[in-house]
Amino acid sequence: MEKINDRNIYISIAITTLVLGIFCISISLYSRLVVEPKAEKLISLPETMKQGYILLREPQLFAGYKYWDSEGLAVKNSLRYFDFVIANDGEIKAEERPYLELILNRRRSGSTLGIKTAIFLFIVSSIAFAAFIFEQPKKSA
Amino acid sequence: MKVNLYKYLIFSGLLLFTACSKTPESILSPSIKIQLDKATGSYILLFTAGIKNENDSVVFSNFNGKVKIIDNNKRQIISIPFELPVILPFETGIIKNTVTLSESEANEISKFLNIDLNLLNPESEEGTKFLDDSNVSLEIKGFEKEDIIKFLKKKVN
Repeated sequence: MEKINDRNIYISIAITTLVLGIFCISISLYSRLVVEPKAEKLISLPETMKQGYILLREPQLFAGYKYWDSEGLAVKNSLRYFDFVIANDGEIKAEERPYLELILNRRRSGSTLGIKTAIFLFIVSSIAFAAFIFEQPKKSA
Repeated sequence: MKVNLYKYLIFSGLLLFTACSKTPESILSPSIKIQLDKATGSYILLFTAGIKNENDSVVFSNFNGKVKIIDNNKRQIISIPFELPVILPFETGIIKNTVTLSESEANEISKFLNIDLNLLNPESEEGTKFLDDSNVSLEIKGFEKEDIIKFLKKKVN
């Protein structure tokens, strides 16, 4: 039986997890460093709250608005409420800001999850890469 | 077998797009009530039901069609047209329609609901009957789909 080349497997795993990690971290860092501060600034002022909400209405990749756990129901109800208000040309009141922050926190938790996932993928990639290097001299010996 | 990559990608993209939004296929809690219009002496059918938009980011506009009420022998009794201007994500659009019935339609519905038209009280608020899902069918004629972000941006700008 032909022996499977382990080095090819290790390098494939290392590259795949590295690419996935870069993808996750770039999306999450963009959210953390660009979108979240901008949204926080917009929802802090009554006159830009609607723009802030529209920015938050686009979900973060790891914190979508499709699936709901019991904790996420408050976010779902907030989305329903603010969609209705804006669709009917209403205004978001200053005292409703905590509900916008609830949506912002969901986005933050999504980007945190993305960063942690990327770190995990980088660790897996490093291990696979180390295994690739370790395997090389053993083969040539 | 040679596969055209571009066609494959377009087809995959279309599949992904269609999988992303769900069109309502049924109506919720359909109910009807027959009232006697004192002024004209004709019978009026009040129909109420809901259409749920289960999407998280799609708005349905100008959602229109017909709700058909069918008896247990699958025979259509009456068709009720409806139009909902907007159904927002996670929302249930409420159909509330009033139809003036012809005498034959009123008789058929009274037979179907097992009520005596002669005993109808014009002032009464009672008499709403919830219909079984098997007695109602939804026929969608048309609607427009729009992304919620685009929809909201138009409202704000």
